[in-house]
Amino acid sequence: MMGVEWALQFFAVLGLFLPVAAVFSFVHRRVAAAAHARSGPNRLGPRGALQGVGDILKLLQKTPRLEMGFWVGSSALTFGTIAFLPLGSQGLKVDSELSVFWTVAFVLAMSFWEGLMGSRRRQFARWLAGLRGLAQGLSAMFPAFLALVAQGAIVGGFSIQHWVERQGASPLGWACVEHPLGAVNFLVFWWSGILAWGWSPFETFRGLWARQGGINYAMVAWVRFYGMVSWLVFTAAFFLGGWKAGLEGGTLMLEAVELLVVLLKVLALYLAMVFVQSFSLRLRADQATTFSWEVLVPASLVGVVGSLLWVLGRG
Amino acid sequence: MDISPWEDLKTEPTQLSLGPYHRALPGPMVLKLQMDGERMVDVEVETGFLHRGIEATMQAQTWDAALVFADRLEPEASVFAEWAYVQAVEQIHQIEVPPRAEQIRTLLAEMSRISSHLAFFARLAKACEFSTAMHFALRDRERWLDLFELQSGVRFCVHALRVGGVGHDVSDGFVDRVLDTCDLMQVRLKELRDLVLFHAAFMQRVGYLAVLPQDRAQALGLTGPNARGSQLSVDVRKQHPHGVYERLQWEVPLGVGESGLPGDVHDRAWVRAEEIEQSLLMIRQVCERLTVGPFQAKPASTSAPPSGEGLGRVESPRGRLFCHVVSSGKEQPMRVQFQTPSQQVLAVLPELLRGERIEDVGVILASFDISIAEADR
Repeated sequence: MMGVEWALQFFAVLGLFLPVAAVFSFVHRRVAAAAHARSGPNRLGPRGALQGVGDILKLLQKTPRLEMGFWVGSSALTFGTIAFLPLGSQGLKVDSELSVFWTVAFVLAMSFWEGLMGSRRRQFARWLAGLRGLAQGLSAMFPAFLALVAQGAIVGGFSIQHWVERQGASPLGWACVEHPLGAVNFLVFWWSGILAWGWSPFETFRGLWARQGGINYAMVAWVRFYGMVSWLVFTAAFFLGGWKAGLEGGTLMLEAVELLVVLLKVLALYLAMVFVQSFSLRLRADQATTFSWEVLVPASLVGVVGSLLWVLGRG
Repeated sequence: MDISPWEDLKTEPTQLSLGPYHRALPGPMVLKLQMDGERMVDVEVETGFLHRGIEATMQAQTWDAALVFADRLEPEASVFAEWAYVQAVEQIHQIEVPPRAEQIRTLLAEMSRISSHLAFFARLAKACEFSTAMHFALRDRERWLDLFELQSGVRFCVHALRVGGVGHDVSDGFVDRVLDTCDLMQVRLKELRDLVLFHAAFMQRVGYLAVLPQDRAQALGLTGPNARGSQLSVDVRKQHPHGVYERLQWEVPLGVGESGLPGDVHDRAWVRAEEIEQSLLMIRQVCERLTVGPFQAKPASTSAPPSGEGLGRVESPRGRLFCHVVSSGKEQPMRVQFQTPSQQVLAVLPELLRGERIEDVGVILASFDISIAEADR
């Protein structure tokens, strides 16, 4: 029965993410177009709302040869997160005493997979791109790990369920607001994800991204989108109150409200990223990793030291 | 035999070829790179893919018809090649150009300079993947292209000049619209500076990049904004005034090392923004002082000039542009030769790129604003 339940959840989350991807993609393109002072998508569907669907259909018609290793590995690694994606109080199927670190492990696994895929064709450019993906992933996950350690010291544990449950529904009860170091940890964790998933301004040409076309590119775009949005779900859960809506009970309606709350928080983070993307340029690969070592790592160390002092001071 | 423990880590240089079509390149050309890791240790440039035989074609045309082909030298800033050619032919003819025609030529040239520099910013922003800045620069350039369309009927290859004057007079309404666009551009220029030149990430990305010191710029024979970015004060408009430049109040902007060292990529962009400012100043002065009178010398030249040769030189948006014309007294020019600033940059490109990183190729090439069209001719 457990297996059936998990399979149902897998397809439910997949079914949820596809329309979410379409909506987010449309919002992204509209906001970017407004920032660029140009017309956004306006051809397919009402006010261009179906443009994303059209683009996917177009990509699916091109390059029909699937790179199976690429598809299977990427799918397994990305959708492996579904079991511990904190989308609601009933949605968390797996949890442990150290479950918050699974996020970092998941991204590191993706980075190694990218490096591996980069080297697969024995092309110099792909080797280089694969190594870049690995370097970027490692440099991003180190401060993310430290931010989680620091936050765990404040919270008193490393379980996803525990982190969400101890926060309030009101913004004043969110982890990033109720403790000054929570804000530092929040920013470090969020931006580490942007760096790791290669979103602007760290949109480097790397690993899975390198020289893919047609249907394989559609998979790259999907993995990249899923990875970033799932990271935002974790960020919202760890620091922005997660699914907490101030309601009690276990009804289906409550689960829907919790899901909506999470998605709205994720959308807010996503729009903030699109805004930053619209007014920034792409950094060089070495500048992206330098940003981690010179900005994110020192900030996360401040979080770690500050949290330890706070814990010691509290006794 | 003593073998260094690091001997095994030595690697052979990697060969990499970019082009003839690549998004990092300014046009069809090939860069054969020898790489040591991510650094370029040797660069070989191959051009000629866009050769259209413009000079030979002009030699097969009548004197007036040849002007149409001068337009095609660099379609984005076509007024300058036209101006260099008509200057040379007017020298042979010894034609006195009417003051109003000189004013209109100066006006169109400065409008063209602004349009070309805005396209430069769009290309540089594209090279840095800064799409908002690219769209803003292109949006502003459209305003200037609209004015060219209003004046000549086309947006590129305007064919506005004639031997002895200009093709069409400008109306009061046109002048008013030019002044309105200048006012708008003044605001947009501040926006462009804030968005690009003073953007912290942009300064970090291009500061200290591809630094070209003043002495090297002089030794390599660079001209135009590329030389002025390296604080080398060379400008044909000051050294050999033509048009009405001598009577206008303006300055030659130089690089200041705002975000790094003088002569880096940021300075080359900085100088171009300052030049847009100076061009706006010049356009306003020309519009205010526009005299009444003929816009074409009488009689207009359509006949064969006497034997002799003429040299036209103008300051194009990319630097010094020469046109050397030889007449044998026949219906067609005997020899037409152009020397273009992009040609000069391409000649010294290996030295400019050596030691730089592969990821910066696109940004560095965009910063030198190379036009393959005018280099290949």
